[in-house]
Amino acid sequence: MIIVGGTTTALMTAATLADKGVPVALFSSISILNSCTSCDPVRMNAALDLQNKGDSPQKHFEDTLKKGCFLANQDLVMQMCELAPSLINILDRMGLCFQRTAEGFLAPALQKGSRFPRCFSAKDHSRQVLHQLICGQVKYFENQGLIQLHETYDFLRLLLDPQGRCSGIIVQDNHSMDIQFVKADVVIVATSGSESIYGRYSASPNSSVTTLFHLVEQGVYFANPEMIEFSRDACRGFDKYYYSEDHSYDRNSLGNTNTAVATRSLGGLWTDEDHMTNVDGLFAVGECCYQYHGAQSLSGNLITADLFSGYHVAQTSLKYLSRVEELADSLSHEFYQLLLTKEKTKYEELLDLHGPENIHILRDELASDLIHNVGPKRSETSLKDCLLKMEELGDRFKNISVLDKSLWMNREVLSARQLNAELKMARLIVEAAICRSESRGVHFRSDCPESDDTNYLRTTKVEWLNNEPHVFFEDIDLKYLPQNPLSLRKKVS
Amino acid sequence: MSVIRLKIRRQDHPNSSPYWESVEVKLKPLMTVHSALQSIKQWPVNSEAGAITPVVWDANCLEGQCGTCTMLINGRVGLACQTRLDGLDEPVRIEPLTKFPILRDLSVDRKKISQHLRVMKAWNLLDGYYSTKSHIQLTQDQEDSNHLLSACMACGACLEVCPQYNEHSSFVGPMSLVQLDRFENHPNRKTTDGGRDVVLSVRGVEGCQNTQNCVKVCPVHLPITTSIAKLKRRATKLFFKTIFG
Repeated sequence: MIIVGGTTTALMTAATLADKGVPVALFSSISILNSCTSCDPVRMNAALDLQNKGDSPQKHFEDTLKKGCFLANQDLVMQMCELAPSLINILDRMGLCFQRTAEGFLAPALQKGSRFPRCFSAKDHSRQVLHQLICGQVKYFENQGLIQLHETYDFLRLLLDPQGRCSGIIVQDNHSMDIQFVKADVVIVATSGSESIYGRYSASPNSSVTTLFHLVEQGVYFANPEMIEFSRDACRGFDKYYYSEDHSYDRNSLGNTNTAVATRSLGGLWTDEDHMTNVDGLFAVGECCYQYHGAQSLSGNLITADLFSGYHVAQTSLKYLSRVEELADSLSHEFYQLLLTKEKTKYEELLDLHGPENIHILRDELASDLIHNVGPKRSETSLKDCLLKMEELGDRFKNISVLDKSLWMNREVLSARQLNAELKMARLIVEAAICRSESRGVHFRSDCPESDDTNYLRTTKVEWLNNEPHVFFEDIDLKYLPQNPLSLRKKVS
Repeated sequence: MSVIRLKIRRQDHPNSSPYWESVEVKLKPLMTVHSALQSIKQWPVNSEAGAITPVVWDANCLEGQCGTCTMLINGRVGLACQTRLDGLDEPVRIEPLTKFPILRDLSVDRKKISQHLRVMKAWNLLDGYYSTKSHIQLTQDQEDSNHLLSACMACGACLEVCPQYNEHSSFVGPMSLVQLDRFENHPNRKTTDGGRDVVLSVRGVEGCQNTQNCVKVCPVHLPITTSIAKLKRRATKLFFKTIFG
């Protein structure tokens, strides 16, 4: 069992599996104490109804779907709403400093979009507190020998057996720069999402799309990439932005439309109800999977959904393991060695680059173009302009220089790899945004301002083939509520 | 646009010798040490206009919440993402922490912090990851203490300035004692033996000499020595109990 990623969801998944007695190896690019991807305040929705106001998981489910413009697959959303109260109980017992009533019990608050007060918060503390708490749990299981932490590894590639099933990963130690493979029948990906491409984002600079893109390149489907949540006052810190000559940062201008910040990507790797992607044995949870939120997230649902997905995949991945027949161990050594050699060559080619372009300046240009053309307001024209810019940046990428030639802790090579992934992911996002010719939730097209249920009440699904994104649409699961019932219909603005 | 002079202490490898690099960075409004280091990535030249490799440093949240970018700025420990450059004496000296082994440039190996958390058992032991269907009730003191001490982000600033925390002493350091105090106050903490032997020994509270440096540098202003004083009181009570029963 391998978990790729050091996010809060990855740690929750590891801890839940270890709690069941399953040994887990966690691969993160930085120390798990320092890998919390977001500083948003802790807000978690759960229909605990402690104050007998009439809330229920059913009502939580309805509020979630309505806010998500009915784009979310319903089965998982219902499961999340039913399990959320248990998650709060578990976190409370772990010691999370939830806001409490005068009597000393958990105090829920009312959030925008919810009909009942069901949001449990840790007052003004950020997600770092939650992350550290689950880190503590992981440390306990590490002491028991159930979790093995590998804290300096970057994901390079998924290993697939001849039947196309997951059989392990290829990783690079970002200290010694050694590349190696690790065999496993189950790989759970819990890296963060794709909003880091936008430059101005509220996640951490360690959050990158490299892992996501490498998986997509290998044939893993991506869903709803055009759904990116923006906010104006997302960051409390004044140093979150990419610097460039043109965009001198001004704290006071945070209120303007030009200073939108990408806070969260609601799209991600496509998965089924078991959180398994289209590759058998590869699971995706947390922000890097597209489930739960649809076209907009209900305020307070983000963390609940992340932690629920981690908790849920612990069950479903074990079920998969119990039915997989041939184990990854049975593949030949030469098979792995060939793939390793290929990755080493790619790394050496990157290391060798010595052109006139600067990686970080290109990243900045990409980010500023995206925020203007593929930001909170888009149009077919702006999206096509963005594609032209992508082409230009793609050509200039061939002339970048990796300024650091060291064979120890070489961050520039990792940045080069990241830029390549960002350029391709940006293209994927733009193509999907062009294909969805309607406005729904966070995806607003000024040339198609109304939502079109007939054609687009479907999940955008993207397949990467022949170095290009191919967009198609998939019907959503309408298990509990039919299409847009009149009582819950909301006009999309 | 004005320029600010930086002097960065670099080291290419854990075993190589350190050296100083002088860099000039265009000063922008509200610029922090982190953004200065970031801008070197885009314009990697030193003050003699010679090409350099970008500086390696660790950062994560950029909001003063995670403690990853702790380093010495003009000799004082602080978070790079929260330390503004305007008003600092030039050339601004940027150095890595001294109490942790250097990996490269400003990036240090913080495994020691993880070890401390494991020794202190900085977690609540649960029966299992399922709902117990009963609700925990906390007193106001417990809630306040939990809320306050949860802010400790294990940044290592207090360890850097504590004179008793060094390679010659087995003192666990102020951070570990704060973490211990935090979990000890939670009603779900059934077992206290994780900290007991540490608390009673030189490794624990006896090691603290009340220098108060930690309180001065804590980025979240935790009353560290208050926590340590509470633990010392508990240790004294335990000590008398073992003698008199």
